[in-house]
Amino acid sequence: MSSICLPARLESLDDFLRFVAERSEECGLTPRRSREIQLAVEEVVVNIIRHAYPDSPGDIELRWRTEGDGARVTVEVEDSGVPFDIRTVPEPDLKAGLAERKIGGLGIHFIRTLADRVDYRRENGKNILTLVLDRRRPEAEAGPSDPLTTDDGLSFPFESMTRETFKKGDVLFKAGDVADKMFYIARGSLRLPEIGKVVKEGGLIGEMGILSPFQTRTASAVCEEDLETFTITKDDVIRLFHQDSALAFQLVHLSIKRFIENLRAETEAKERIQSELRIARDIQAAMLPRVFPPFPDRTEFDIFALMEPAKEVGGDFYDFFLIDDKRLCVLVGDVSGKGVPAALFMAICKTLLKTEALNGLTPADILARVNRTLIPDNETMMFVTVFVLILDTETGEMRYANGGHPPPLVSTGPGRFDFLAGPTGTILGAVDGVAYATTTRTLKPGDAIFLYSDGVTEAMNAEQQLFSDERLKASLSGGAGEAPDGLIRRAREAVRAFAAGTPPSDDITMVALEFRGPARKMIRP
Amino acid sequence: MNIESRKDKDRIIVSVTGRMDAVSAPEFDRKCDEWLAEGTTAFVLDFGGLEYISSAGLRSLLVLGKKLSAKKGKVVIASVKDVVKEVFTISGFGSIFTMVDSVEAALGRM
Repeated sequence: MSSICLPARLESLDDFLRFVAERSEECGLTPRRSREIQLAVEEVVVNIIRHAYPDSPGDIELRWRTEGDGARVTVEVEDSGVPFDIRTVPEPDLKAGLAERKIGGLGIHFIRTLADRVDYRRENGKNILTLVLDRRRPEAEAGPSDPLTTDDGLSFPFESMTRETFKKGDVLFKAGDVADKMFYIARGSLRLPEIGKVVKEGGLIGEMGILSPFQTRTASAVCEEDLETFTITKDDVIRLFHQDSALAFQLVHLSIKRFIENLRAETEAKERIQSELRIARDIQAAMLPRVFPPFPDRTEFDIFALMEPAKEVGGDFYDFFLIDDKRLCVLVGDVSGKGVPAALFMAICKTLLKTEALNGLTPADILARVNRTLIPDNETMMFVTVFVLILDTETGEMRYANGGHPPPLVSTGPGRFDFLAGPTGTILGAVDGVAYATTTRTLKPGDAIFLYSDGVTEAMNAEQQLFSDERLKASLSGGAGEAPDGLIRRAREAVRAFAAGTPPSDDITMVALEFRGPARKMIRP
Repeated sequence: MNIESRKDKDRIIVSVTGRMDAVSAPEFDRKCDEWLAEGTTAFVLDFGGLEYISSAGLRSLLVLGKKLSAKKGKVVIASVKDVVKEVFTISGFGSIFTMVDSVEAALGRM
């Protein structure tokens, strides 16, 4: 970097310009480019001489730096005069005729036109103006050229653009970045991953960010191939707006058009997800037995169940099926988490549990086997609580095991319910090799058992109180010999009344089973 | 900057060579004011030897143009070099001033 510091007087101008001319020659710049830089520097320096030091003499320092073998020249001009940001000066009306044409304002226009970038900062009582002047395209170097026209019919003057090249895979900008320029694609293509769009040669990209009130990129842009762009800075866009209101209109139109397109695509994507979730909900519901009575020709028991997911799809499940002619298996599970991941995990658990139960294992062994199967694949760290019972429909003997699930309620007489005794084992999918215990209890004809998920007891009201074990027990008690569907309706109604409109935060599952006693032999007349 | 002038009947032909910048432009203004004061209203500016013009030079031309227009006078610019013509172009001056290829053509327009 070289520099020169001289008094802010018109007599210094020649020396400043000679400094620029000599540096230009040293760097091998073309005479034309040297003149352009001199012109920009003169305008800056004269402006400081005229306005920066109204009361006392002062100095101007000029610093010169080149990069890339002279491809980019950076000139910094520093003065200690009154604060002044040259960029705030409005553009002269370049189309005015002789009579209307204002005297003045042209110097600043030259600076803006000749420099590819104009930066200003006030630092330690000094004005520091930075001009960046890049080498022009060969076409532009040859003289005024036709303006660049995009596929959307927008025309930009060459002078306002800087050529840039990017390699395949380069990221032009990321969503959320500050939007300070837009790009005309001269060669290659770009992909916008967030909105699944490709911009090819002749396209314009980045205008939405510039016009956005947030001044940020709405999507990222990644080079699909090596890319050549003509880049226009935001400042230049604003300047072009002053010069060419038709262009401003076109650009705003393009931006709004694209905004609407993006919005439509987004809405469609959202609707697609919503409809897929609805389908998933139906599939999940279809996975649970929901035709009641499920075994119309079995008089030994009656069963009823419901599952209401808090979201479109849930992590709760229940199942019941006959293992053989006399044994009925009933199970309730609750997968940690909610939504689609929980629903998928739930489908796996339900299938595994049924498979093991149909193998004729005891409840404890069913849980142990499923736990062992879940552990190695459980990278997502999802868990499931399960209560499984197997009822001998001839004797009423019930064998059950619990893997971390809330204990069911069992009737201990007409209208009296109590929590079922027995160890609460470890949640499934968490610890490898744990064992579970099978407990046995014999139901008398007329006894009922009520299984549920914690979405029932932890249902909340507006005061953030829980429905609680006690309220559940109380809601079931009091009736006399109700059938399973009546029990569930009563419990569900009690929860609904308690929540009083507070939407459920968890899935709600209830299963009620009544043992009616061994089948009586049909006596044919 | 060097300024030479010659009269041709009621017209004046002004040859400007070198650089017309913030330092030299005031001299051009002063000379023009003298000729205007003498009653000259037809100016041919021969820019064949002008190497550089900045906004200060354009400002001088604009001032001359405005003063002449007030007196129903006329200014034609002749033989502008490409490097100077570009500055005219970016400032929109191409449409304000009549520019021709030679002094003879300029005189023919008067």
